[in-house]
Amino acid sequence: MKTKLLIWWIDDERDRLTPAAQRAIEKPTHPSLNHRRAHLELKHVGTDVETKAIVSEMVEAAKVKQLPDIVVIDQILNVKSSDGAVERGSSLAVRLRVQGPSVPFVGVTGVPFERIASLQKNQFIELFSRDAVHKGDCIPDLFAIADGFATAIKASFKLTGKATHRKKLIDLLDAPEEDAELLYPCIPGAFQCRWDDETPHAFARWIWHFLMGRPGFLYDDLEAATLVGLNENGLERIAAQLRGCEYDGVFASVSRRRWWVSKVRSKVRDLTGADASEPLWLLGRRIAKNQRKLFSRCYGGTSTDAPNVVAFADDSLRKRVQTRIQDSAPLDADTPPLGFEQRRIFSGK
Amino acid sequence: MSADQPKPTKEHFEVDSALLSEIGEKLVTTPHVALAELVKNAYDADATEVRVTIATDQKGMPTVEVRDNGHGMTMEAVRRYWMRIGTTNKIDDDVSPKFGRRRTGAKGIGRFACRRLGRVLEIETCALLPKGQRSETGEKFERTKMVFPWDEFQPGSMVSSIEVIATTERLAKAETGLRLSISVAKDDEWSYRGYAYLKRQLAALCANQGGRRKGYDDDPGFRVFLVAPELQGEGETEDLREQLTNAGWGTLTARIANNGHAVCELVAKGLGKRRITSTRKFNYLTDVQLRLAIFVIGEKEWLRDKSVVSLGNIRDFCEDWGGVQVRYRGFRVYPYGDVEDDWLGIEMDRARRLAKPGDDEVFDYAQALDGVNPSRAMLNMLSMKSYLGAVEIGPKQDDLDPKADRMGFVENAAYRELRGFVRFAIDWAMVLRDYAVQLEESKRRDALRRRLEVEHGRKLSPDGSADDAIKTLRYAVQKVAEYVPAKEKKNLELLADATAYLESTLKVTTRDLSRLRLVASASTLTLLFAHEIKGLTSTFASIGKAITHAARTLPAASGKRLIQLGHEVAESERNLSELLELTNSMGVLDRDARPIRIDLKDAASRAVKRFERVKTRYSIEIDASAIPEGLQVGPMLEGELLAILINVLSNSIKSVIAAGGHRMIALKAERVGKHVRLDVLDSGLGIDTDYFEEVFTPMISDPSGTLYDRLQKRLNPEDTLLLGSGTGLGLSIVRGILQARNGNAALVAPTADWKFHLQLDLP
Repeated sequence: MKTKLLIWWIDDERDRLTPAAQRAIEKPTHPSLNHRRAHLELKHVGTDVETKAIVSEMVEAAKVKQLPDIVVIDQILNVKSSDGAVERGSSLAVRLRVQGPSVPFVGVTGVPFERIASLQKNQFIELFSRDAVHKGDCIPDLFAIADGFATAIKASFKLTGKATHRKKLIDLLDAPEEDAELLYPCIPGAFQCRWDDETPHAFARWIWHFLMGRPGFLYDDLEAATLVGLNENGLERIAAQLRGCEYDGVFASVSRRRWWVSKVRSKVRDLTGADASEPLWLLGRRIAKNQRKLFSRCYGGTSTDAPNVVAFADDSLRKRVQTRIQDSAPLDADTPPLGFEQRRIFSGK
Repeated sequence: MSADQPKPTKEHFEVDSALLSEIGEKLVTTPHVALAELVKNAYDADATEVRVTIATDQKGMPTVEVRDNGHGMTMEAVRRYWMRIGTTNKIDDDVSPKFGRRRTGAKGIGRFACRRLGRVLEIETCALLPKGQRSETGEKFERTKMVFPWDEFQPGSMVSSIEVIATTERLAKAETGLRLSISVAKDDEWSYRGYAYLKRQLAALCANQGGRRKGYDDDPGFRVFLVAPELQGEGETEDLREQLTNAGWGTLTARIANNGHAVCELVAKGLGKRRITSTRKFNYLTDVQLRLAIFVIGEKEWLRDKSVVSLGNIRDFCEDWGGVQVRYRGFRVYPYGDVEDDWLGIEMDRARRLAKPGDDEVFDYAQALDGVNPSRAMLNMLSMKSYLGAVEIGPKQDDLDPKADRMGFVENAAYRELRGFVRFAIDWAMVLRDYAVQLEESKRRDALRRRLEVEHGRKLSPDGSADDAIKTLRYAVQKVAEYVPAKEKKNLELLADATAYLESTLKVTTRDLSRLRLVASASTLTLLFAHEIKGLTSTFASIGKAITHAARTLPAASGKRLIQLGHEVAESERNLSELLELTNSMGVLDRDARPIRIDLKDAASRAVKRFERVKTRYSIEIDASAIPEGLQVGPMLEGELLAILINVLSNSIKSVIAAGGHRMIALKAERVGKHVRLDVLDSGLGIDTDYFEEVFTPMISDPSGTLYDRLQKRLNPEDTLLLGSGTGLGLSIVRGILQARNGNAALVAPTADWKFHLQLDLP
């Protein structure tokens, strides 16, 4: 892991990244990043500087082996391409990736995400909102993506596609032994073959948006809390005892904490010495010393039992709540990949 | 078997020559149908070109010649198919052998249809011999000539007994095809009307401008040239493809001039000729020309030449052949212009209801056209199937690289420019189409106005206001009243009342519309404002963090105040961000919004939060705890629910401030049947029961006339803007939204604890 990252920041407005936001990225204040630094190189594109100049710069950087560790691109670049269409950051990312396949690309935008086509979003490992940039919320993610990508690239040279080498892929994820067998069929085949220039990007997106992005092998805080019968405060209270269950594989980020479901299950049973017949939610509450205020509860008072799923509160998909499976319905148009759970929506009263 | 038994014999059917008349003259009613059948035969024989000549012989009787370049027939084929009645080869093989065309004729009547056209048929056909029949000396073509004297096929004679003389010769080099020459006509049955029918039939075949079918050779298309000196001008040849191109609503041509600018020309119904030269330069394009016929499918009034196309065949050929093809140095480039292909993104733009031209120049052009709203000019954009034609790329054009598999071009800058060039021309034509529609409507209105003025002596204003129409209607009712018998008076009263009702409705609608226009403009401005302020909130966020961070480095005593300041800045930023988020959710311009189910408690808490500042300043208690958690409403737009909540809360807040005392507002909800009932209660001024309905009338903001006077006295001047002076639209909007979603809004008499009770039935 490099202590100091080189970040290219491509924007069509010179001053959009305020000096304060620049400082926050270059000298992150997050406790987990206090030994890390970054050097920001701001690249302006606009009517006077065409995007092809940036592409040439990437070619030169590749020649002298001074490629950036991560590239951040404004999605709505006010730059017209030769056919008069406005060129988007995602198109530029595609052109740059051809020159630097070992560099991760993330996007930043001020427009609501739902107004950006998925094909465009897919060209970035992640698309951050401008607010997240200015507030500094995305900084740990930026470092995690840069570090994770570098690790994946390094490991990819050992991935020859042979079955015996699959273990290296699992090692990258730092998956528990009992998940490894299950993970093999769930990892897309393209990652289990020899990698080409496009594979690192696809792999990063799979980790970020599937493995870490939806429930399955990993749970986020609310899902993990629901698993052990607690609310999020309750989980925080017992987090120290669950140490070692967090996801610590490639792309792990402190601002996107994830838990290996299998590890949490066995840890909770270890801590309580209970056998498999006792429900996990009772054991979790026992670890939290049965404090009622830390207990999970079914949203809307729909049930007296402990909730067992996390669902969106309504169709706006803005808020997530703890509920029972029978008080929720599968989210339309969500087809989970093999090994992952279906997203749900609270059915209301 | 005994010797007395009769010996069985084998009998055969024989065909009387009268049958030819049944399936020829009688089945084919006019010469136009007969000739159309012959040309369809040429199409089925994979011809790419057919020349039809209708001339007159020395006696002034019509003669017909049909000459095609199809696969022709060998003598063997003539025997097997042409001279055998009722062969089923077209049914068995429903596609043509070379290009795989779907066969157009299947009844096998074409050849007998010739009888309708004249008593003597001469055939000359040349075909490639099958490999096994070719001579060793290299003669691989066979030419056959035959003469059919139809008069000899008289009723009573057997068809098979009449001899038809044929001569064949073998050739090393020849062009395949068929020539039918028909002479000695009985009557001159040709008419202009029938000729138009013939043209429509044949023109539809000419819509085939080339295609590819799996397993067959590339079809270069089909053209028909018609020469009929008696029916058209002397020496004129009608190219039916060309006529078809000029028969629809418009013909669009575009080319790149020497200086790199696009020059587009549109000849269209209702517009005449229009021309534009782009200010934009197409640096990569040089030798590129576009020519498109534009058809408005399903609308007859937009046809320029009804003698060439009919409404029915437009639909058929546009379905089969509509699209913008690309021809590169004479050869068609696939898949551009195929049925499912959308290389210009036209279908995608139609699907997302693109209203505004994407090109600034086209937008500016639209702006200059009277009656065209440039922001909506593309809403009626025609589908890809409505265009028939191609972009021809000539030999001087470089930079366009066909892909290795010959399926399209490599997506380079030149290709993007090509796409941009074609879209520029089409978008420009679509703006003009919108203009043509407006012009047509004005013309119609002008004609009606003139008629009313000239024939009925009514003086009307040229702008055609609705008031004039109503006045004219009333005048007409009065006129009729003078002659209507007494027993019909009741019906007349009904007509008069309906006119009055129409007038009143129109007045209300016009007034509401003008106010709503202003409100809509304000909403757009709000969104623009929200967008601009977004940058400011981000700055707030980083300042807040920087202050807090700096404060930690200071001694505790002096740092404390700074930390507090940092928190205050962060809090302001949070409030501003939430307000912006709410503004975004209510954005009237969000066309992608769809009705959804929404958590009522969550939405209410977001709406209440917007009034946090005014709540604190005027000590208003807003209690939404009686909305059960998890209660969902909808499906409705999120913006609609928020608009309802903001409007009702704003009304109640104004009322409780005006009333003074203990200021209380409560929101309660429960499910009642299929609705969720939301009760809005407040301790404000209340409303007299007489005004319970009036408050829902648009523009009536303060029916009792007390609210705003009192509010003015109690409100700090800087908060006036916060709550507004009252447009009188609030509750009318609330009811309007709910009624459109099968809900309702009504005032009910409040219980003793409250002064105001609004009951909303949410979907």
